[in-house]
Amino acid sequence: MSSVNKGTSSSAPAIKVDDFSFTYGGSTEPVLHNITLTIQAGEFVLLTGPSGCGKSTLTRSLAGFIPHEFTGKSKGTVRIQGVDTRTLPIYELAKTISLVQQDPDSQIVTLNVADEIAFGLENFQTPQSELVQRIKSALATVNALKIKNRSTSTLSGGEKQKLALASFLALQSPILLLDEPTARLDPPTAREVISSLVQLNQASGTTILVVDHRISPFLPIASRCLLMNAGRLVFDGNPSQLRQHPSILQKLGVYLSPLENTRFPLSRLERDESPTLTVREIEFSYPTTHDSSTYGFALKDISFAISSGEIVGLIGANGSGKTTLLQHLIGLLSPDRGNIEINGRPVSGRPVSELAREVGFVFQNPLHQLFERRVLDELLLTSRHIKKPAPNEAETRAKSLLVDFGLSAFTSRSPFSLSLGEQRRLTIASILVHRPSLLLLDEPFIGLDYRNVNQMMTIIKQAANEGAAVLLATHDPAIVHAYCTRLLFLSEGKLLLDAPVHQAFSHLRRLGEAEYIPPHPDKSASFREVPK
Amino acid sequence: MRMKGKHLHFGYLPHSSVIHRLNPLTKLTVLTCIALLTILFNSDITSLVLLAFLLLSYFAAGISLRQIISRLRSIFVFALFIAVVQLIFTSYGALLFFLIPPLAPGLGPFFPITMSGVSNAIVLGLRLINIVLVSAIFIATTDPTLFAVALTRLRIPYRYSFLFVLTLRLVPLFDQESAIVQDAQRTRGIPVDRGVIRGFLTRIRYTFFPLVFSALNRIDNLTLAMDGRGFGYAKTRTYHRQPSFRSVDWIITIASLIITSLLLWQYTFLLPLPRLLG
Repeated sequence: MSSVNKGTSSSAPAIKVDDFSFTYGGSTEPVLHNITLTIQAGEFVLLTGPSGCGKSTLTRSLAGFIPHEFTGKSKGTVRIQGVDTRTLPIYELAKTISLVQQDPDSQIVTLNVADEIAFGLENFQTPQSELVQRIKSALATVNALKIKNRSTSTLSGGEKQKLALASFLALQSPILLLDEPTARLDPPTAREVISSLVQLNQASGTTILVVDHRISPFLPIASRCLLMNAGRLVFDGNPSQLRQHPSILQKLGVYLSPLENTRFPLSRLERDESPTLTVREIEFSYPTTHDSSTYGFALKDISFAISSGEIVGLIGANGSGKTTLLQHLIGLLSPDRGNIEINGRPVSGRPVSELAREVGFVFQNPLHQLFERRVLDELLLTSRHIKKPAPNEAETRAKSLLVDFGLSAFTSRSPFSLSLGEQRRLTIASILVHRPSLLLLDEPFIGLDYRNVNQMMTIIKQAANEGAAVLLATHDPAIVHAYCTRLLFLSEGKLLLDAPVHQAFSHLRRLGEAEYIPPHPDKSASFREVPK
Repeated sequence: MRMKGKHLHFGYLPHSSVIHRLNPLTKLTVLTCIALLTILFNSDITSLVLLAFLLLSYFAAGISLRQIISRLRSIFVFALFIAVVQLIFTSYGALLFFLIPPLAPGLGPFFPITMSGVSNAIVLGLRLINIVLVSAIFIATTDPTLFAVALTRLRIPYRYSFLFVLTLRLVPLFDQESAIVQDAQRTRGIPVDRGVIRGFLTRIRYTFFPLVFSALNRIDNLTLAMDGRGFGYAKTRTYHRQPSFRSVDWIITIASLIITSLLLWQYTFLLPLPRLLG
């Protein structure tokens, strides 16, 4: 078997892209325009840019997925350690360059954790005697030794992301590409992952390229930053240079720190006599099965209320019970004890499809909640079933929402043909047509840049001003800081905090949960203590 | 409201019994022998002996028979139905009694129960049950990954044997996804939770597209994930876990092959066998 390492001089750069352009098959608009880029061995590079700027396409091109697995037209060359990616199949390239993609669930190919980490090593015929040690050390690197004997189908989202990362780390490829490695992780876990990357870069000299929207954790550790916009590389320099131009970044939807000047007045925060949502002392536990430890999230004695006009942020670690709580509020799960009322009426005993009149729910993955063949029908779906509002009115409102969400060009397209960002916007637009009084959003912003987030939140804010109560589960404290009026903090199924956002962050600091506090614009240096 | 908790796992139940530790190929051999004997022999004694052997294996494997039966209830009900039909409608053979005694002079008796009927009921009912039980114990006690590795020993290329692992990897994902999709339907106000038939039809209409797109998407991503970690790099792979082939595997494999061959030989050349029909 030939390997990429053979026949190349050690002086060849890790990555060399020459005037590379790419257009996906079926499209006329190039996604990448004349990219020229050289990355030397041992660099730690941060690549950022707005959603849809071509970042993921560039990483696919570097790993050889383009042109091998995606059809399209390409021009120019990509060389990995001096070898043209077109000349080697992906499985050969994989020895040199690893691409950890966004969705961990779709990258796990085996049935248990140890097998998963061994998978790549076995393909490369690593002797059996070495395998056990390599599995252990890869898991240790991401601080996940305790999941070694678990079945992959029982892992939590955060554990899956760690596993996906560990299974590539085990390969010890000299070049590692990571597409949003921390998007699904709560801040403490994200910090662990980032510090293991730093360790890898410093100790083993691995060349690392991280693609992320949330750039502040990476600025102190990256040796170089790349900025892309509309398929072009628009900035290539060191992080301090990038910091000097926050306005350019903001225009591109990339923010160094929480969004400024978007805070809403807290006028409606006074205690309300008749809140939209009331949750009283609910408790819930999953049944004990032989692997229940992995489904350990339960809810313990949770009470709170949300009034019309409020936008409440729900934060907490992976597995703290955020999704479980949201599922209770629309009746998908029912509590063992306690009760939930929406607009003064109890939730229990009412069919979910009935509750949908009053509650709009957005799930994490857009693909699971798109049902129609045309975008416009998708928006009208709920109103057709619940007969509210009248068809004419619904259509007018749907069309104006499509304009607000920047989707009007796709009215007759299939929802499944849209990009992830467009699909996410569509799922939110689809629950707004019939004006439900409670909006529940479960991590709706994963993989979106702040400009998209801003656009979506502006409309959600408008819905709140018109009287909706909003509960938004997210990992990103910057979003809570920028848009929410109040914050709920869940930890291991308990509600530890319920306070207005400006007070909540200082409470969190006192609780020792500083990771949930967004970095202050001028103190992003505080992230310097993160690595090492 | 949806039932709390997860769906029952349909597949491998990790445990460390004698049966679990057997080499997957040994179990595959025994499975094949039992299936062959069950299908070829129309003997109630053979069927009962095989059933006893299987029940013993379940006991040795520490797998609850009740769990298997509750998962596969419909198949067991069907087997019972076949047995009852045989019992009632076999009219030849030594008469035991009539199901319906003479009602009046000239009316009845009806439905003679004969020795042959009992025998047919046992043979045909157990034919289905034995095959289900032997397959279920194979699946429940065989680690799919080790089975895939074992298949490569039979010179099956790993690209094909790994498909088995991949399929099992996808089953729980599809399960989870279809549950999420159906939750999402309800939250969008689609009345899948109201009306038995109407709800069912609506559900099918709104489940097909999301699941198909999601499945295609997953398969694409899995292919990328596998290639991206070198799947296909060499003609063979190494394995961090290998099924061992111990002396007990030799004994069981050889014993089951000898027993089956003897019976088949007898079946083919040394007629008559006990109660061999047709």
